[in-house]
Amino acid sequence: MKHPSREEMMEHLYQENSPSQRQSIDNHLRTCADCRAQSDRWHATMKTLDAWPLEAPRRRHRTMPAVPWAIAALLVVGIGVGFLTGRTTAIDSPALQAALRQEVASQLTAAMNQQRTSLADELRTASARAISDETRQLFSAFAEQLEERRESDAEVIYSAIQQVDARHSREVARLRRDLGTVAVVADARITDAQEQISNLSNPGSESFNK
Amino acid sequence: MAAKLFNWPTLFSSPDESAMWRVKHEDDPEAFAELVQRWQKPIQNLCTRMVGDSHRGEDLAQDAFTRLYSKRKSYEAKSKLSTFLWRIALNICYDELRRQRRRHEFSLDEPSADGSPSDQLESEAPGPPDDLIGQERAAAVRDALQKIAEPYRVVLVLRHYEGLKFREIAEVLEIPEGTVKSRMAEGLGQLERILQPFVCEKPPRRVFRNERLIV
Repeated sequence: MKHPSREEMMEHLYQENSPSQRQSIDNHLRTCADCRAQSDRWHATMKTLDAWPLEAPRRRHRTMPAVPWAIAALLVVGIGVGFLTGRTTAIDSPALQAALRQEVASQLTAAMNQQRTSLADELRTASARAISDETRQLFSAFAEQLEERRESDAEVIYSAIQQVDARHSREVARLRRDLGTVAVVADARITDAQEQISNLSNPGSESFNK
Repeated sequence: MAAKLFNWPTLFSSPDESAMWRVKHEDDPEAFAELVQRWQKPIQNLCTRMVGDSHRGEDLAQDAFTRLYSKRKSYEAKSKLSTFLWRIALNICYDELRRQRRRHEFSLDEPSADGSPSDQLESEAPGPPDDLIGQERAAAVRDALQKIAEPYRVVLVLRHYEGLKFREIAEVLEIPEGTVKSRMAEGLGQLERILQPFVCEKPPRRVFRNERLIV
């Protein structure tokens, strides 16, 4: 007989196990006195915990936010009246002064923190904007330089192409002249060859002619 | 405005997470007030059970919500707000318990007769039971919980009083679920020993399927 583990018993106690697991453990508890006794003790302790209910939260005024502001307002009014009447308002209670000093210090600290956060945000935004403007200007200058460079390169390439074209034209003309010369020479030689053939075929005419 | 109305967390997440999303991204005071209203009681009860003092529990709950607001930017929407908030409240309770121990260590007063740390709680009524016996039992349970080591106490409080599942407790405490269950068993065992005179002697009426068995 396999006893359920403590972990399985905790699941069972708080009904977090599946129906089949519940059935299995129930069956075991029905037959195993030791496990049943342990389960009963846990159950009883669990029920005892319910003896400490908590009542609805009472509103205990620990530190009302309005109080320090009211004290501060009274202080400001008091100082103002004292100033107008030619003397400052004396605060008799050292405890009140200490509390006031602490509250004012904490509120000043909070206000300074808020201001610091706000300034940091503004600074970050301004920096981002400045960086953006600077980047845009750099890109613009770079684009202009690129365009100038492109035009300069185009001129150089055009000039080079013209030079190549001119040289090509000169070479074509010279080639044409050479071909004309070859044609004339060839024509003359053909004519000579024809005459020689004609003479060879009529030897009498040659001697007659002589 | 459109982004405010149609952002995905407000459309697809639970009220807690969507309110927390508004607190995190828009510093929305109404959303934070909504969270405080919904969670104040459970957090206050947790703190009270952990430190054994309802007034201190109330203060600690306020501290927990203050810390929740200050840590709002570090909240990640993928995790449940409840887990985030339980952890914050528990860390505040641990800090308070450490402070109490330190005060106790450096105190020149004589320790209480039984060595319990809860002598400072004696003047406080533990709960609402009007009858003396009920108040005595409540005080006994409160003091017994304070005598249990924190790892066991926190599991007992979260499971029994706050009603978290073992799986949820494991998530909050970042420990295995099996460890949570074994700590629960150990905590109940320790409580049983401390509360021996108060533990109900009468065994529970156990109802099995298809039969009624009184054990």
